[in-house]
Amino acid sequence: MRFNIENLRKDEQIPFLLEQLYSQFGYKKFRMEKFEEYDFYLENKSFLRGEHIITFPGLDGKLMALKPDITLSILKNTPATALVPDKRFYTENVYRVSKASHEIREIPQTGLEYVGKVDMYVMCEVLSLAMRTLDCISANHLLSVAHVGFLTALFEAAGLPLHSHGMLKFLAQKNARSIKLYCNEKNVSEDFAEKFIALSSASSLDELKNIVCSEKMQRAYLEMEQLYTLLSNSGFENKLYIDFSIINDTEYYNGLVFSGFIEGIPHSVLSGGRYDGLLTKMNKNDLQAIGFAVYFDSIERFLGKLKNKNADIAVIYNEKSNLSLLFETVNKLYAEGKSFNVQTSTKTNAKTLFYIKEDSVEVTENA
Amino acid sequence: MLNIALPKGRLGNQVFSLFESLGLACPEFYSENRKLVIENKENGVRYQLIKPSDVGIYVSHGVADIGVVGKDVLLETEPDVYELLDLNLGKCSLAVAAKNDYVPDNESVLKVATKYPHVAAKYYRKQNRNIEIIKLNGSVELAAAVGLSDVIVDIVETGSTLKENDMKVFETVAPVNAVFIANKSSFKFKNREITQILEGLSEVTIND
Repeated sequence: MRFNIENLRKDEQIPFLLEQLYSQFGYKKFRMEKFEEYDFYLENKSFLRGEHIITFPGLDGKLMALKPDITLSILKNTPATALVPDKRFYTENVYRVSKASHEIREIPQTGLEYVGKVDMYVMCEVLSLAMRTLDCISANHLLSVAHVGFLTALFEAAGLPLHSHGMLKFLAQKNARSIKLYCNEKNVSEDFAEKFIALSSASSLDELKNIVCSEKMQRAYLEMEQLYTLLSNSGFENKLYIDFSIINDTEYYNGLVFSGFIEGIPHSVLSGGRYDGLLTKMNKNDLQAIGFAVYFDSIERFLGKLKNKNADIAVIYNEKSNLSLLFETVNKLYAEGKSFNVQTSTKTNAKTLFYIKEDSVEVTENA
Repeated sequence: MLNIALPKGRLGNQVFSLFESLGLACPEFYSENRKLVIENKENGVRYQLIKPSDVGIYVSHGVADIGVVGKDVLLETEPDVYELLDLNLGKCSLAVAAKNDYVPDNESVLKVATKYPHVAAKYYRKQNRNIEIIKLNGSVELAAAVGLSDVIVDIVETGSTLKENDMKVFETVAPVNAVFIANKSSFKFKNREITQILEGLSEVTIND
């Protein structure tokens, strides 16, 4: 019997589909051990944004950690140069706090990283792969996009520090009132307060254009405009939305950032962006990087709601059944590629029932 | 269908009236029954009648698309939601209160009784103050009145409960009122309906 992906549950199909998708675009699979030295994550703890890290003592006394992240490991030993990029995808389990359960869990994660020189085409490719990834999971998806450079330029123009965590928090909440109070507290002018409030609700390029008030902001806006145009012309128009509430870091991410949403899942399931800042901190100043990760803990739950695959056939036997006939029937069904469950109970949701009797097999349709 | 988390009690009644004025009525709301979920298929709304302190949880988990919750609950539980509009309902404040004759002593560890341990910890951390938090579930004023704690961090509305227990407000931690919140994913996929409601609420909300 030949392997047929259609026989798998949707959540089992997706890793195969994504592997095929990323390979088609020239990305190579990255594999890693379950653990790294804890010191490695400690040096880059702020990139992990306060993630709880599970540690244990190694046999040589070194403190080891169950990996909370894959990106750092890919970057650590990347052979990428400005001329020859390193294009990697991975399907690994990470150990971090689950958005779904708010507890530390083993979370299946798939992701993709492009390390090298990041130009407009590369950004479009990665964004299109993010949307194709979401499409593998559900047709009802969208990708929110923002630009960290646009935001930090607005901070600069308004006289705020580049990493204004307070403002980031209120933008993430789309909290106009708190934005106004924060600007008041920080002696930011009313004009700029209005710009931050406008940014918190901006959902189109036109709205973004009206906020531009410096050369840096104009450059970031033009980058977004070009991305939008190229991706819209490639058929992705209705899936892209401007949304500056998705920005939660201005230290490592320096340009385009994006988050993917699926209708029916209450929070983002994909997040990524351009993170040259992390490479700079790792002293890889000649390299740039962009990538994303998909978190499967919420997706598995969502797909579980979509379909619970039962076997098509129930093969029912009892102590009087002819065992040879039973095995013959099972082997025939297997050779035909059918899904079946051999059981003694007559309770079943299967569409077709095979009753193994003393000298015959009775086939009936389940009422 | 739009799922709305409505806090049970006085605030919920006020909020429901607001939603009713926007055309989101649900006659079942006035029935004398114990149903926790009521819906009006004609105007596409389903109300979930929820304990006020849990509204943020229902909205952040997406089982409710939107809701109304007190700012005190948002500050304490920090659910991952959009805080779209202050409704200027249920106005009060989170405050530090103590007995009238309380004299602050910055040298010893301050005992703070509260239903809001996260808010209290954050507030005093900003002041670099060492505190011991005593988490209570109700009648928090009693703690300071009988010496369980030095101060309390609690909601203060008119201040009459404090006054009757020989207590007063020493510091205001944060103003509190009802906030219209939305699930981040629902806001994107049901943007038209939620924005319509937001615009309607903005028009009827009296701003300071």
